[in-house]
Amino acid sequence: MKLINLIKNELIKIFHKAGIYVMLLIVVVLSIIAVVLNKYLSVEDISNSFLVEVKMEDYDVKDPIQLENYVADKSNYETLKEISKYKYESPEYYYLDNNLYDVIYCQNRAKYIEKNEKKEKECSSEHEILLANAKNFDYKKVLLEEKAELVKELNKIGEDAELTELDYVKAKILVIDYRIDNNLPKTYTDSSKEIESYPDLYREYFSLDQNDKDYKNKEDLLVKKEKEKQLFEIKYKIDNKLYVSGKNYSLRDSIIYKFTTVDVFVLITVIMITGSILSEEFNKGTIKQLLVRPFSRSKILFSKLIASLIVFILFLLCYTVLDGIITAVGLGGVKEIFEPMIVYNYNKSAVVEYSLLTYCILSFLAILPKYLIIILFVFLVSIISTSSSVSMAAGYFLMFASSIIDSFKNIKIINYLPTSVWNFNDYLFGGMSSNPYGSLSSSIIIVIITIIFLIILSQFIFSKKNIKNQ
Amino acid sequence: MKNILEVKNINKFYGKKQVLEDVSFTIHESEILGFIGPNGSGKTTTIKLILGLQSMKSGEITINGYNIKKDFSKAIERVGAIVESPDLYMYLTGRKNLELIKDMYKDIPDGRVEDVIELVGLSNRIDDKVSKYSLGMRQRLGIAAAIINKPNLLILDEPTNGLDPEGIKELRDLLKGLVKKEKIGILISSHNLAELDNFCTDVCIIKKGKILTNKTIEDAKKTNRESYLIRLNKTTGLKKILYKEDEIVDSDTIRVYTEKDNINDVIVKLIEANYKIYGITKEELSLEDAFLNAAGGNEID
Repeated sequence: MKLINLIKNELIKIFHKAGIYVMLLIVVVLSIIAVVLNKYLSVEDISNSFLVEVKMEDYDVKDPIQLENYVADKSNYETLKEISKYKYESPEYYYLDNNLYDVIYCQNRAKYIEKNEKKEKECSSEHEILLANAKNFDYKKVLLEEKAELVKELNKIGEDAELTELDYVKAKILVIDYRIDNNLPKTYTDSSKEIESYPDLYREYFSLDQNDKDYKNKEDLLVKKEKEKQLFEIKYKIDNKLYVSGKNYSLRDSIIYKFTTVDVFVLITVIMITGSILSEEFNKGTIKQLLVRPFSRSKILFSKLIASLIVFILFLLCYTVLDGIITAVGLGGVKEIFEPMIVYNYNKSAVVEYSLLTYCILSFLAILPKYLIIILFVFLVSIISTSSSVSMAAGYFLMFASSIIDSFKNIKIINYLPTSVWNFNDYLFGGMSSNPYGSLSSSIIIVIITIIFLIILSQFIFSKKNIKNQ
Repeated sequence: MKNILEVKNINKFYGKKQVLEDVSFTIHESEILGFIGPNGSGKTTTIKLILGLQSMKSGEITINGYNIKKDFSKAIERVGAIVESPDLYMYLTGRKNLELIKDMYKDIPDGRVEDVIELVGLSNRIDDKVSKYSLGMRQRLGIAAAIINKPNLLILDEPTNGLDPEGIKELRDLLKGLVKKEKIGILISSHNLAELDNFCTDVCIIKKGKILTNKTIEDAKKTNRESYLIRLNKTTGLKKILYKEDEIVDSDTIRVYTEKDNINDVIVKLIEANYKIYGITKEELSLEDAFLNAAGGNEID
């Protein structure tokens, strides 16, 4: 009961300070900027608007290689100029992006290198057709043409071909059929890209050894498992008709992101809160008022630690809600958050549906150890140094050092450091860690030992701490 | 009388340097102990040891019968303290500061916060942020914070810092009232002897980490002989008449150390030597004078 009072007091102090509100304001501003950029501009649109005209004078066209370069650059420029009339995620963009360059190149080559007027005209008329198609774009017609080609190919391969090759073409036809049935033109949207990757994934996966035990090299096995996951998730979505045009996952993606990655803004806030919750009391002298109360020092310490954790969770939730509202207002996608998450479970070798909530909780638990270890580390440094800036710097150092350390994974000992095993995301749903030496059980043990060590050391140092005279 | 605070032979080192050497004293109920010493003499360190804010090499401190090391929570339960300066959260209001402290004790009635606000006279400004308070108001809020848990031992480290003479007087009256009403014991440290005069019941003087004297005010004053100030028409040529320890203060005043019964003889002598006597006053010995004597020197600061 009394510990709760202490925690409550700590929370009152934190919520009466500006720090946390400033951070919330910053993330709100940033997410508004992100949504505006996302809605009105795409990276491709921006880069297309910076196109520089390709001029002949800039090339030494007497040199055949330079002439080739000129033709290629010019074709590229003309293609982009045409394409950029359409939105990046539109079917027309995709259509032209995949077809236009070839005809323009053909045209330019005929004109400048081959000096073949007839060919130039042929290509030019093809060019016109493509542009006309794009203008009155009928994606079904295009898909049906593509399908007809594939069926022809299928008949040509016949029964002699290798099974995977046959299946590959079949998979392509499957995808086209699916697109036609479900109004899903080819575009550069995530779902379209995902479904488009299906045939290649299929072929790649089934050309690999299916038996995990045959893999001597962990990296190869990881590649196989990753493909397995992608393939079966896409297959599941195709089978259950989950790819439908007009779906908008902006909001869902923004929510998922918060719980599957250690977000830098959440981390900065947590480091700020934890780094100052104790050291500020030391600096301002108020720690004395806290320590001359009928509480053991460890209770004081734990109340601060727990308050930091509560603020961390609250901030994460507020951030998610605020960013979610901004995303929903700007980009939409509220309906889609109620759709299940499709996740391949390695243990069951099957796809499992999770609600967004369950998925987020599970993912968050997997990254929680990383947050916890950083929080405890900052806390420990703040007890030792009694300086907010030193402890915050230590937190950021750990944040960056861990990613630097990660690049030395080939050194065996590095893989047993807490910073190498503190993210359990890989292990979720029966997955395998990319850490060549790590296993789930050893990671759990290392993380638990680290956490206990940090807590005990903090507690020990704090209980022995002399409050220096001013 | 019940012992509230007992400090027994405490020794404290900072590194190799000994900052407290066998410091001992006791505070009983209704006792105000003036803890006096120059800056750097070990007053604040002693107070921090009493409050468990620092560790000591040896010695024993008990508050209300509980050892501060072994039974910290129980020992500290009925202590109120200001150490160095009133430690307040500047970004909170005065009331919030008090409420935070109140919540750290069980069984403090809700009205207590209002009572202490009233007691220190901060009712008008209590809902302002402490950052807007003057030094004197912060000091008063610090005292409110120190007494909110109805302590029977109040430890005040230089509480008069930042207070004007009016404020110092108010503080004295407040503390005297508390002692009278609630029979609490007070440890009050200062480097300024004059402030504690007419206020403390006991005095303990510390210098370079050692206790020089430790006795009641009355005893302290008693050890000094009475003195009288005599105003005369002139003070020249007095050497022959007066005793060695008597002093010429200025051109018309002398100080004579003598017993009450002997004062007549002094006057007769002066009259016989043709001096005119304009007035005689018995000198009240100040605390400062008493302790300058006790310390065997005049360099308290």
